Amino acid sequence: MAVSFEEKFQSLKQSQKLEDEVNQVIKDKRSIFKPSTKNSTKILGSFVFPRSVGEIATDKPPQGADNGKGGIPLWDFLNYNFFHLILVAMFLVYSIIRGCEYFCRRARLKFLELAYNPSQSPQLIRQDVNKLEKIPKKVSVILSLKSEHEEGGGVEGLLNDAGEVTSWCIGSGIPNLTLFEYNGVLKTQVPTLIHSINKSLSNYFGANNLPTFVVKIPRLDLVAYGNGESSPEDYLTNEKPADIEITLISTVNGKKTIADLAKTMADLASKQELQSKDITIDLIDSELTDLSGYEPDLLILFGPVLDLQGYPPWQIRLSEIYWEQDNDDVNYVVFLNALKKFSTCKVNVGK
Amino acid sequence: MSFLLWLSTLPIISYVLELIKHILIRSLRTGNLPNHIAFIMDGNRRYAKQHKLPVSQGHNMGSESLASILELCYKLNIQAVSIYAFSIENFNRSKSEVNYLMDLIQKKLSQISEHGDLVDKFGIKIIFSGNKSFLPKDVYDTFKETEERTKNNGNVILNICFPYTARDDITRSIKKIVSDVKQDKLEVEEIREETVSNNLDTKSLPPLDFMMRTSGVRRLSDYLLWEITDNDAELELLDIYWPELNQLILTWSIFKWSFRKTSLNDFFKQDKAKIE
Repeated sequence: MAVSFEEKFQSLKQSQKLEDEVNQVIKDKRSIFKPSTKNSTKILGSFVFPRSVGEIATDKPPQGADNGKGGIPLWDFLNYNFFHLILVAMFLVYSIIRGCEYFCRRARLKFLELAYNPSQSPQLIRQDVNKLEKIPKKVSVILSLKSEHEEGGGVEGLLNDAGEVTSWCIGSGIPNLTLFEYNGVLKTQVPTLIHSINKSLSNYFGANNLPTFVVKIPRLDLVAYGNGESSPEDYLTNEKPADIEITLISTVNGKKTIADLAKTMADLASKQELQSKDITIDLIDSELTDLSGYEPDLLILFGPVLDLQGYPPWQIRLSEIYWEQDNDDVNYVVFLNALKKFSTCKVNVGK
Repeated sequence: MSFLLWLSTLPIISYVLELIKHILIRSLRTGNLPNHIAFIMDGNRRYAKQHKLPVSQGHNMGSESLASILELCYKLNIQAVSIYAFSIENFNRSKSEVNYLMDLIQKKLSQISEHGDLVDKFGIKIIFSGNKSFLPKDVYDTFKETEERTKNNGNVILNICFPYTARDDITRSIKKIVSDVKQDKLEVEEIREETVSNNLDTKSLPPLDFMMRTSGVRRLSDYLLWEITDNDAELELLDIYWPELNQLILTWSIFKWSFRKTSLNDFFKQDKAKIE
């Protein structure tokens, strides 16, 4: 009895096993079949964008518009792929046009760079700038740290760019410059930065005729002086102002500073030292100017698209923003074009 | 040009054009699309001046071009559209023009509530941003009424900024935080960037993806400053006046936006090193 029971149990187990195996085979078969359908959408999908097939159903045409068969999933699926194929085809055609556009723009910039090369002479910069009706007093520049293995990349390339921009600004008579770098690398490299600026300035103006400059970091209250003739005391007593004031900011000076200001104000208010009605745009403006620098007249980006990278939002209210499409290096032509554009613009707040 | 216009009135041609438009929109919808688009509607007056029309006519045509743009955004399933209808600084304009603009928006909104079918058909939910304390009483009431009437719609959110400036918005957000702390609703230590963004006028909207400004001016003019400095937000400047913006131009801009989000665009991107 017991044996037969055990046998039965065994056979039951075996049949269970068999069932499992069959299930496995079915599963395998499915998995053989599935990828083929899945892959086809995946190739299409992930090639251009990662949108899951599940979203097809949500992509129904609006009510009333040719949606007689919208309820059938297969129809939706085919519909989706049909239109998606058209989109992919359009993207492919466009990418060729875009490629041509890209090379034309790059070639144009390279040509202009040669034609307008300031060849490290402030006289040439002066000549270019003198034609302009007005020049900005405060300029801000967004520099980006490129990866090490690229030409002009890494921290060294960044410092070099900062030096060049400073020389161009002094050459064109701009007294205030803000350098924004997302990570704040410049702030940690002040001595090297000063060295790099001095090197660039002596290339442009000669070692005997070095312009003076001050480097400021708003939230750290750090002020450093260039190696020019003027000493810190001269600067402080305003007898001999520096030729240019350089402010270094990073993304920390943006939204985070505003949040910190809100924190401070909330703290003061809870101690009854600040009234809610005293919080005005003017108060916040003066606080933020102290904490993260002033609003520039002109903001220059040396990137291919307008990407503000977390630049302090409060400070770009009326700033003229300039960038050159498909350009990706710090280039005198872009700087000059930005100044040209600025000289023709008219600011009329609200009117 | 007039020949082309005449050609497009032929039934067969206009049918084909409609079909092309339909296919374009359907294919765009299978790709990446912005969730939240903002428009700076600039250039109504300069357009009127250029075409020797009265200023009011310019504003009128601007509102017409807004309607056609909203239609396209609805067809593209875009979740939210913000428009810069009136800046706080605009109160500095001549009294008659300010009054005209107030009348215009009231008229348009009452048109909506009278023949609401367009708003209801598209499922547009209208909300108003900005500092409402600057508004005259009757305009304020109309706004409240419109918000109330359309609050159950949900396909597209139309965020009308009237009268708005970003600095005012940030200031109001900070004020709100301060008063929350005073009423013990919030701890001082909990204040972060997100706390400020959650108290801005755009708190109920998806993050801003795309901003467009017409009339070729390269400034943000105090509009959505906090939102546009996000890493993914893009700005496109168009060299045309607002009344000249049509569905075709907007479709092209959105097509290019969609392209930039694909891997095909990697080649044109700047190589950037970010330190974590």
